[in-house]
This record gives sequence, C-alpha cells and structure tokens, in this order.
Amino acid sequence: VTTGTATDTLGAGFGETCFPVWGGTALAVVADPDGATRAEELLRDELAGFDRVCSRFRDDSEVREIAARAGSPVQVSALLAEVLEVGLRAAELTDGLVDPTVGTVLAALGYDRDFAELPADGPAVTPVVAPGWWRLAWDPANRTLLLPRNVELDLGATAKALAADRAAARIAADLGVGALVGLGGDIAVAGQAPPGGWRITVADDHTGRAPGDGPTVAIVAGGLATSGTTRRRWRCGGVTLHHIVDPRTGAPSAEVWRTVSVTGASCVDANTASTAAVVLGAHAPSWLAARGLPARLVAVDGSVRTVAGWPTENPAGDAR
Amino acid sequence: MNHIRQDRLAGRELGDTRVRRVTGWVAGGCASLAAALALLLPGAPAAASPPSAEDPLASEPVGVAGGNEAEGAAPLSPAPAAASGAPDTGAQRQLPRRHHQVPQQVIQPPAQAPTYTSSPRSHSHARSGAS
Repeated sequence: VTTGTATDTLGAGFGETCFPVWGGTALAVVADPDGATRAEELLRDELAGFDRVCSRFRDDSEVREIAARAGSPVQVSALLAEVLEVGLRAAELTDGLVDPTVGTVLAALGYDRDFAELPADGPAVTPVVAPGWWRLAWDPANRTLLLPRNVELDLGATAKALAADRAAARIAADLGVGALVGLGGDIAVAGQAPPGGWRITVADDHTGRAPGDGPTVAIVAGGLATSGTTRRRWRCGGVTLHHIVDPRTGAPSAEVWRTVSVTGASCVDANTASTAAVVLGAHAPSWLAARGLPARLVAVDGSVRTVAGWPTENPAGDAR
Repeated sequence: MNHIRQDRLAGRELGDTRVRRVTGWVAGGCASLAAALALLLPGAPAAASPPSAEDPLASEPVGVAGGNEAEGAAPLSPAPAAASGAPDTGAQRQLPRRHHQVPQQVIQPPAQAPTYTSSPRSHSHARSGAS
C-alpha cells in the first residue's frame, strides 16, 4: 500500500493512494495533497461493499446466497440492484456480447475460484454457452430477482467499472476536489479535472510490469477502460484460456485484439464497450465508430487502430 | 412467480423492450404457471421448445441456439474455435426482439474526446491496461 502526497510523479497538489484488490490494483488520486488518506478510506469502503455483494468466490456474498436460492424470487440489496441494472443494460446495449450470466461459462472453463488459486494446468474443459441475460426475471420496482437454476451470475466486468464510477464520485463529493479512481484497467474521474485533464497512460498491463506502454492521453470527465487478454490467463487440459469469454460460444473470445481502450461518459460505458469490442474481434472498429466511442485497439501483432476521435499516434507511439 | 410470462406479455403490449423484466408480482391465474415452471425447472434447456402457435410470444425467441448444456459439446481443443468473427450476435443467439428504444439505451460517448498529452509518461496520473 502506498499513500501520500504524490509530488514526485504527479506534480504538486495531488494526493495518491494505491493498494492491491481483486487480483489487480486500486488507485485513487485526488487534487488535494492531504486527501489521500480519506480517499483511501472511502475507496476501501466502496470496494468492500461490492465484494460482499458481487464476489463469486466468497461463500457469504449476496450473489452466492441468491445462487443457493435459485428458482425462487429473492429481494436483493440496493447495491446489487444497481449492479444488476448496470449489467443488464450492458447486455441489452451490446446484444449480449457482455452478459451477466457468463458466470456459468467461466465456471465451465475452470475459472471457479479466486484466480490466484487456479491450478497451473487444470483438467480439460468443455465450453458452455451463456444461458442469456433475458432469463433473469428481474423486478426493479421491488428489487426482486428470480435466478433460474443452473444460471450463475458473473457481474465482474461491469461491477468493477461501476465501483470506479461510484468511488470517484463519492471521493470527489466528500473532499470537494477532483478525483480519479482506477481499478485495474477501469478509470473513472469525477469533480473538477486538473488543468489539461487527467493524464492516463494506456498499456497492455495496468501494473506496468509488462512492456507495451501506449500513449498518454487526457480526459476531463467520464471514464476510460481497457480490456485485454494479456492478463488472467490459465490453462486447462493443456489449453491456454483467458477471462474475456464469448457468451455466444462459451469459449474465450478469439484473440484479434490484445487490448482495447475506450472512453465513455462513464467508466461503466467505457468498460461495456471495451469488453464488447474484444469479444467482437475484427468487427470492433466499425462497431465502436458507429457509436461514436473514441477507442484505441491494439492487435495481437502490436499494430494499432484508433477510431471515433481517439488521438492518432505517430511512429514513436505518441498520440496526436 | 407465476407472473413472469404475464408480465412479459404486458411488457410486449406496452412496447417495453425489456421483456425479461417482471413488472409486478401480482397474484394471477394458472395459465402462466407452466411457462414460469419452464424457466425454473432444473436442467431445462435454454433453447426450449418453440412456443405453440397459440402462444402470443411465438414469434419472440427467448432461447440460446444450441442450448447451454455441456452435453454434446466438444471439449476445447488446443486451437479453440471462437465465433467472434461473426458480425451479428443476434443471428446466433436469437435474442429477444426489441420493440422500441427506452431512455439511456445507448452507450454514451464522452462529452469530450481524449486528447494527447505531451507530459512524460512517468507523470501520468494512472495507467489503464488489462487487469
């Protein structure tokens, strides 16, 4: 955990805190050199709430409780209701490329426990097509969910982005300053942006432990999300798998893009689009462009495509 | 719980795109019980039998082509074949038909596109990469 005034790297006037979470890194940056401790407190509280509600791997999580009561209507917490709404909206807007029922798919592929606990090479697996988000009987007025039997939720993709959006807004409101929250590839900003915007380096790996740094761009509001297949890879039956699955086939999505970075009005929207783009593969650029979503796509051979107003890059790799 | 179908019908009549959503849990007749049970039965295939000709939802496929059962599916080979080259997701999964747009049903672009910054990368506030 690092917390403090980040004058050495970010310039004077910022506080920063960073700690591991969910197999990745949580980051908060605030435009207040004395705000890091409070920002971390708020961020940890927000993340703890999401973990209690959404974790597939905690015996006491709310989604596990709902799974145990599959086939019966269950009233869910306000936070899970919000997460579900976001996940179902993402499914609708992507025609199911992002689907909250992929928990069933991931479990079939052997990703049925915390990633760090997966064996080096598990038994062979057989893909299972996602049951489909429309099978969830969701009553938003009463916050009641009826989960069909044999359907397992995985709210991870959109839940993490929602956590970033919520935490950034909460920190900005509490401290009265601009705030950035990063959860792995998902970045959300809220409040007053610093002059020139929040500077974000897009990369293959959010930890910076792997090569593949891209350009540094600035955003002033909303979110930036990067989805990619370079992390969370595991093996089953001698086959290497990754975590961005195609709900239509039940298999890991074809590796057309190494990473896709998208900006949106929120981190949720950016993440929804970046995840869908990885699954879409070759059709992703036109799909993103049709929606006016600025994006940068890095193919498996390292070549880069940009669409919808993402700054183009010069040969040195800098965006213009 | 025996009103899922009833509410889906209501949603359709009202033009609600979100046919999956239950608009209320009011007490109701037995006619919808069978449909509700079909949703709930353990192991029920996602690609259920086509609705009958009398079924008002007959033209609204709700299943997954191929079903979600592992039975009959091939194990992953060292070169797994994924279908992400397919341009139309709906064609493969027979998604529920939509009837009209509802508010906020669009992925919202940013108010302002990202801009290039010439700051050294070591001075960036954050990194966004695969996680």
